Amino acid sequence: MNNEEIEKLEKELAGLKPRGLSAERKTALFSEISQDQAAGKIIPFPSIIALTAAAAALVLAILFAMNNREAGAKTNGHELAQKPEPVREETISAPLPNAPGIDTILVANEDEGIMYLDENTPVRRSRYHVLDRAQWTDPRSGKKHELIRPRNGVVLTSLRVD
Amino acid sequence: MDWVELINKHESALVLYARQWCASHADAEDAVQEAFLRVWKIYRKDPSKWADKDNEKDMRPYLYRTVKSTALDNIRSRKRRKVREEKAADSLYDEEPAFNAGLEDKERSLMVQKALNSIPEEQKEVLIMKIWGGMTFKAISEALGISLNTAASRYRYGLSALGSLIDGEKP
Repeated sequence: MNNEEIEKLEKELAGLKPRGLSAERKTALFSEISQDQAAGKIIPFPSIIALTAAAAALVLAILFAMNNREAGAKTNGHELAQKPEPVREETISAPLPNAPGIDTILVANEDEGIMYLDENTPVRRSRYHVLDRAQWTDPRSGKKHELIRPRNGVVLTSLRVD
Repeated sequence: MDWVELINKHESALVLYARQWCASHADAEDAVQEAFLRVWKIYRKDPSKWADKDNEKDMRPYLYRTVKSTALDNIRSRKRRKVREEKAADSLYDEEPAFNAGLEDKERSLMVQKALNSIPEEQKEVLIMKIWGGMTFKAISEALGISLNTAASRYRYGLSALGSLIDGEKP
């Protein structure tokens, strides 16, 4: 084969698109990686030490503040601060799908071909597979959670008829 | 590193690469899915170790090596399978398309697939990495543990063999 033939063949081969992972497999793979990523973010080892130190500092600060308040109450005869309202169950809510702040990752877009809505209305039907990803902090515990939801849907695109 | 982009960009070439050691397209998908997870778990443990490889181009040799070793591991673990099951799978596998093709280029893509299955494995590996993986000979030589010249000559021989086989198939 001469160089020209080789270049032509290379071009032709590059134009062929290999069959890859199915949409279901891609969704499962992204989902697993995202969940693993979220889990990994929660407690890396050096953070445990930092968190323990921060918690100890917080406890000391609260004890110090309570001491001061008791001392103040004794001297003034008044309650200086009101007790904080407990967080009620109904105030805790996770973000809803499609709410603002949710990342949507397009996993795959499958062409499902042409269909007819009626005799004169051809449309191209494509199915998309996405992952909705949202981070949510539980107000009771302060812990961060990541919510991942796989979703798919169909989009119909109208085709021009001449 | 954007793993969604990395996966989307390379999964199809990696599935084609894995097919040469797998009994079916689904097995090739298994190998690629598992390989991505293996690489991800190693990356996640200590991303700083990958600082000099923190782009998709540098990850490719590692990805291809992992796909190959995962596919070969899966073959070893399937050795208990009955011979007749393997044979049945093999005959079906020949008919499973390796490329997404429309009606107009379906015949041609099947011709390429058949020709690709007929050339030596060492040439096929280089062809897939170069043409569909978009890798340089340097990256290919790194992935396969061969010299630059060997990678380039395997590519040249593979392409010539493929061309002859495809031309031979022409009606």
